[in-house]
Amino acid sequence: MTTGTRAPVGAPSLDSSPLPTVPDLAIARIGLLQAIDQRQHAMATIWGGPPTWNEMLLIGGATGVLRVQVPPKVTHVQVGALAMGDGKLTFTSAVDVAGVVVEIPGIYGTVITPSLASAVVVWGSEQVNDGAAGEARALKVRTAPGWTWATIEVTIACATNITTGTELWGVYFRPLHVVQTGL
Amino acid sequence: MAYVPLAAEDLAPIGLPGNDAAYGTLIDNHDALYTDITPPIICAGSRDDSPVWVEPGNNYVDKAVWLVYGNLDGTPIRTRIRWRNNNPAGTAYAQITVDGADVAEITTTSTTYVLGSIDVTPTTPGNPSEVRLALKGPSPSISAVQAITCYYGGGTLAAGEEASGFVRAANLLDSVNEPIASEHIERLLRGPSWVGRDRRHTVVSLMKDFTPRAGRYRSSATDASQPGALIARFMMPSADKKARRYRIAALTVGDSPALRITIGSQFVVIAGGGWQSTTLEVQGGGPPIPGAVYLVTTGVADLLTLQIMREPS
Repeated sequence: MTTGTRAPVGAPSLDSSPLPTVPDLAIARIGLLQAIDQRQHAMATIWGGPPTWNEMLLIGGATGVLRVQVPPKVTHVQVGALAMGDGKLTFTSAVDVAGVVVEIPGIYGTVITPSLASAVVVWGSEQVNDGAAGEARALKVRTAPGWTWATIEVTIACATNITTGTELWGVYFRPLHVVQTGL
Repeated sequence: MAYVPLAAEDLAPIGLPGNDAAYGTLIDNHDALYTDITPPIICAGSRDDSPVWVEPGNNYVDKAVWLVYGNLDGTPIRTRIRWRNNNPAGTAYAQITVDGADVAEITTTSTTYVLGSIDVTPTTPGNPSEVRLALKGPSPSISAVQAITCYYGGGTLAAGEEASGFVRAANLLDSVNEPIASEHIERLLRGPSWVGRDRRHTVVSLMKDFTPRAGRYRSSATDASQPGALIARFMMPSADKKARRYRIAALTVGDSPALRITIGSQFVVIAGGGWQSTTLEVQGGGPPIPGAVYLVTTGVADLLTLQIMREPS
């Protein structure tokens, strides 16, 4: 087998109807094999591993852990969060102890009590690298994984700059599927 | 055996068309995807110092409940909890029940958080199946769960056709100069479809303590005006390049609850207590879409679980 480069793919929609049909007799075409390969690769990459929104209940000063399913070959995830108040969220994993810091904009100060309606969605970077804490980058969750799923732990610390009101409601994990080379 | 991606040139008609090695890889990948694909069913967490799912009592009490759609093949339902005994003495218990019939139990004496693994293989797979996590102390122990993750276990390949429709390819018909049956090609084309239909990826998980109490996801009669009290928000992932249908399943308890769930500019209304579900087609290919949950009630009502997952079309 030759060495090649494979880009992740998000199509076709594998669970949609109608299902592929091959008449008997069918003309032997390489295109049939390529279609099989495309569908299998979609399942193993973007289509089979879309982002997820996960329940996570934290108040300012608290820490919690989520156990997240990570698709094949994914080493980094972009994080997002629904939060309110004035503070910051620090996401870390076993292979990224420096972690990713996401600021919660303190637009309410100490006077107005934050509410769910006024909560904001904040995003971490989708930059895939293994930089230091504080850099705008994605969270590293695995090192050189194979083509199988894994359950990994992500620790989330919710720090607050004010007395009360900082709160985390949920987190978004977007697996970053990147081109695989040297296969 | 694991999935092995092919390079584009592997399938080009160089030399003898139908390169037997590449075709053998396609066959192996077909089976490997069946055994390896384990997408999430539910994912939820809470504070370390004050977890949401806690039970000191001497008898099991339901603390979390969720649904499993598909799974006609009866692959194991894998629940992983991060938990501890909140009291230095005794043994804490956790139990998973599927459809009230299949039960598995684990224990811990650890006073620091440890991973608890509970696998249940449904004996009579349903669609949907209801999974319940129950906890008990018993005294003096206090069973405390900080995080819950549940996902489809990988399948075990058997001879013949699975209930989902999946048929293993095995390492057949890949020798040089072997004829290739149309059925075999069709089987390989459909393999990922059967797996995707039988293991439905949950893209949004909302969950609170199964025991109703004040806090998040609750509405009271004072909030009875339409559209109701805002009790939750989320971001709806874009899981496909094009528009696709999602199943929205919600469990509510209380006085005549009615949920209004908005995703972008669309909304659905789910009325009535207990498990209710509906479907909604959502545009794909773009950034995540803001979602919100409103709850109307004639008294007091709670949203216990909300799952949004892919719905095969």
